[in-house]
Amino acid sequence: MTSLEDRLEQRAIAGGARPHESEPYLSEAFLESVEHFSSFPGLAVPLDGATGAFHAPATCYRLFRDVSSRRLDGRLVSTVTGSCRRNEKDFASSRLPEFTMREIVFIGGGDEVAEWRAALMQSEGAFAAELGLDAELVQAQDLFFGAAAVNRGKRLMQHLLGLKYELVAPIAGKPVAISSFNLHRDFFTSRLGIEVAGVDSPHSGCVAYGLERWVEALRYRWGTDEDSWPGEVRNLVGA
Amino acid sequence: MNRDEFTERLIAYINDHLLDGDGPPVAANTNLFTGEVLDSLSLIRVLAFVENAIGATIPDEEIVMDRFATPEKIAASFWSDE
Repeated sequence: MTSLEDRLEQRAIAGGARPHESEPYLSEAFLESVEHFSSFPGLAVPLDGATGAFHAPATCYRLFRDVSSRRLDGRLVSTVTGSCRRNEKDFASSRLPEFTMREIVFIGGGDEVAEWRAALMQSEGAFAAELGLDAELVQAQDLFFGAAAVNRGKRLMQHLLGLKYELVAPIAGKPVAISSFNLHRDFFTSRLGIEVAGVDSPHSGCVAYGLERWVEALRYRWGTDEDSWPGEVRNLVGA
Repeated sequence: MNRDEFTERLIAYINDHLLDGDGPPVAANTNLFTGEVLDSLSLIRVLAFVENAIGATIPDEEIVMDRFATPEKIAASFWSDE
């Protein structure tokens, strides 16, 4: 998995992203500021003890925290990786309580964020195909929105505007999302006071890779013995 | 109330209660999403207005761009003169 993680980082850097190192845990105040508790009730996992800190439910949160209240000189493209935890027991028993997520985050003008995401959807779909995965790009919605009326609005808006797409690949015969491609519009930038020089009302977007799922999809396709995978596939993932 | 009257009331509701004087007023053929007229909260308020007017709940799967992009599409899709 480490080699695939390295390869994904190399691909992100080749695409213009700068690696971002970050404190892994998030404060309750930050999660409150991005409406995490109201949008996704019960999903965040607190650290043990009365620390007031939470495990990151998504790695892009860490980057958004780090650029809060900042004025960026220009558009930002960064990649960040790390461990995520979510309390997903109500959604599917197959979901891992802890998993590794690499993300690429783009902050800039609305049109360029949308164009960037479209390009990544194409390139990462092609990468999955090169790996022999029978992957498909599908429009998606977050599963975890709470039942409050405003969350119905967020869910409907996500679908109406095509804000979320997922790359799904078969694992154990079932389609599973291995990556997601998300537009946030001005959700994070407006709530966190993120400005970009020369851009009115900047938008953001992110592309996420679920590392364990990519590995499982590859093992389902080519077998658990990585030494027996086709040479081209091994080269592509750095195995 | 016929469909045209419903459309007018919907437009008036959006202009008077949701826009707060921000931006140009909405017309029957204004796309409510490309110009970011609606956000998730105001979308719910439009939905509540329509559901209250027709006296029925609209399933989420029926809320698609072809039916919800403009006031006239909403009226054509969800209001019945009968």
